[in-house]
Amino acid sequence: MSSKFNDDRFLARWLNGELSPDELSEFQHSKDYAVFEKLIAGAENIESPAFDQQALLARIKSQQSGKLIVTKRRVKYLRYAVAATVLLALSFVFYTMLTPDMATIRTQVGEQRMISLPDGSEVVLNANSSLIYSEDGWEESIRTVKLDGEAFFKVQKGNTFTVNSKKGSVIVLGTQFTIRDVADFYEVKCFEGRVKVKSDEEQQVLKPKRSVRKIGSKRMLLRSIKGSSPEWLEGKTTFESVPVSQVLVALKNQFDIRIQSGNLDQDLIYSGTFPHDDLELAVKVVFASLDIDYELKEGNVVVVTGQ
Amino acid sequence: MPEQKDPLCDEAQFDAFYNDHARSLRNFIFYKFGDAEQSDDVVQESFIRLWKNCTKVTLSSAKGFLYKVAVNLSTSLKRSDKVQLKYKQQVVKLDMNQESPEYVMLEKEFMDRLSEAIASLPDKQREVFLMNRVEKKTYKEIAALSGVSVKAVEKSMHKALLKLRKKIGDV
Repeated sequence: MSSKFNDDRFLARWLNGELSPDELSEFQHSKDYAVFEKLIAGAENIESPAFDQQALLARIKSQQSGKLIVTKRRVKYLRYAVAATVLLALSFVFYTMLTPDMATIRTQVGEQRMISLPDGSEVVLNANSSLIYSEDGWEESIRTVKLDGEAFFKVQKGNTFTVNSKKGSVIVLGTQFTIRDVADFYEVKCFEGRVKVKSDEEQQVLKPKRSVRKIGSKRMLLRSIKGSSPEWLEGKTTFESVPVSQVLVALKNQFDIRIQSGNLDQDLIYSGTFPHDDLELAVKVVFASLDIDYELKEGNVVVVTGQ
Repeated sequence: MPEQKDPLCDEAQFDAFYNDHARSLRNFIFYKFGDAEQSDDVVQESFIRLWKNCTKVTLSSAKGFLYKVAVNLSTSLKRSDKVQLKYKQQVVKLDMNQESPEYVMLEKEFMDRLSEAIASLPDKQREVFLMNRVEKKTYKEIAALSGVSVKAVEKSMHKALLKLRKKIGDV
């Protein structure tokens, strides 16, 4: 077929309008010309495939914040994924048939919310956190909630009350305590009563004014706490000797900001308090106290420029 | 070392670079390898690798790096799908009023045949054809993206048209 054309780039040149007038008129008189024209006209109807650019950027970002761990590619495991999805769907059907109605409360960045549980216990959910609990069955001894993020609990006396979160469970009778299960940081502070904390294979019973902290896969660490209620209930966040990464997460949970930490030393330890109602001051308190140079740019972007 | 500026390590610059190139890369990979979902994964992974290497890759070489990583990744993954092309329902017509229902049917059939024919082109030809016709990239741009000469792109385009014409038959 190609022998009909003068060279092996003829049609490409035609599309680009690079044929000489003679070449063009000869081509236009050939019987194939109409077919090629229709073919090209048809190609005009083909649409660029849909692409959610921002969603993909978000996916890229979410992997970056996890220290850029390269994920397994989904496609290779498609078969397992399909099997898992079917199983999941089935178990979901049974689950929803067998379990009572679940309530999910979620807070936005910078938002705190007070929740009254069916047994009269109170929960204050800190920013960017969620709490899931069953709306009935509380009379028959099921007092279990699921937490993602940070919350303060004031539990009414009664049967065992359990808070499950990603990294552990807290089991109490009646008491006041907070749980912070954020990124690789797990901390339970007891303000009143007794709190039993279980994480991995470890278990600790906390008395009032005592806390337990677990960072990454390290062992639990017992500590003392000041104050009789969490500072974040009073519009400020206080940390004592925590990795700087936790402080950055906390800032991002309270303020709608982005932090470009560059090659900030992640082993830096921070102690201090920042307010929830003043972005500039909060950023200043954190970074200045760590002796880190930074710039607060437009659109609430904090750029770390040096240490 | 601290004197050196690595623009790609700056999140704002990285985002700008992403916004400039993500769609084009995605479609390039999709046209070449066919699987839309896999294309997204490949683009995601490629940008993550670019970010990880932001100190080593200069802004001017970033695009080449990106496309190379994406093509290598796609090649190492099994291709599972044929390119599924979408087209608008209405057809480019010279005279709207002359249209009869039969004509519409014929056009839909023609578009189906054309999509099918494009999908069955060899990877390189399909990539060149769609990048030029749908993404409106010039031969020169396509050549730069896929790391071949402009002449090679033109040859692929020529071959693609011949193949399509043969597959579609007389209309």
